[in-house]
Amino acid sequence: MSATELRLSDLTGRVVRDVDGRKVGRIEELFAELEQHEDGNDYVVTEFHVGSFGALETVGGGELLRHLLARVGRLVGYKTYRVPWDAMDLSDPKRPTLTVRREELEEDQDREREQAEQARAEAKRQHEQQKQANDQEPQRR
Amino acid sequence: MHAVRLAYEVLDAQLIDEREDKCGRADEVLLEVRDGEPPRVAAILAGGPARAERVGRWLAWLGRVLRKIGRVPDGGVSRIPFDKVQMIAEVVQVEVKADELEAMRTERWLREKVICRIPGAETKQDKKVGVP
Repeated sequence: MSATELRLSDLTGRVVRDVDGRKVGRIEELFAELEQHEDGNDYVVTEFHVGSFGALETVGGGELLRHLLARVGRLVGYKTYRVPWDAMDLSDPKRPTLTVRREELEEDQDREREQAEQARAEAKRQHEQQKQANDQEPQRR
Repeated sequence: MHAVRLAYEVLDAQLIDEREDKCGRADEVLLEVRDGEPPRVAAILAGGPARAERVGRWLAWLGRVLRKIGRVPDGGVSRIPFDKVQMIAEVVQVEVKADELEAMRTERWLREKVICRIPGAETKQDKKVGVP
């Protein structure tokens, strides 16, 4: 197994293209999670955020600024892609490439967004049911 | 599980050692890219030269020249393995001793050669042991 070392700052801001050579955006952020194994724990990169604002996501890291950017982004058509580690080919770090097409990423994200919205709606419905039950309880007494 | 945002939470973050003394900043994060496995976060680099490389090689070169002219020892780069990271919050706490880091070489030199010679200057150690 071969391993090469890369500097994070060499990756952030790099233009990412999909398998068809179309520009997807620039690497804005890398997410790492703790991986537990027998020899010890390691942080591994699980996701890359690729968007058209480049380093702006990093600069706008604060929650308020992130929400503001999301709002402005919706107006100007800014799109960010969450790329799983196995969909990013870093064999040439100067030219990171996706192993999938841009449309596939969009489809995955739309599906995840729908699922999240459904879960949110379900949680809201359950909360309202609970609230109604709590309101009716004193009346019964 | 909480995912760490490497560019926002780690890069440029203040490093503190196990005694909570400041020991520089995370000037660079090294990733190990492996075949068929997710990239591993290998280490944090701390020290002026690592930061200068980020800005541009010309700055690293300029730093070396200025240090030679001023006879200041080269600021070293410390490689802190990522498994030494104990906490990532507003600061990054690492399981090392600040005094043993190469990156603190210039600071140590300044403390011994300049700051300590200023009348009335007292070091942290002096304060701890109560040297008047």
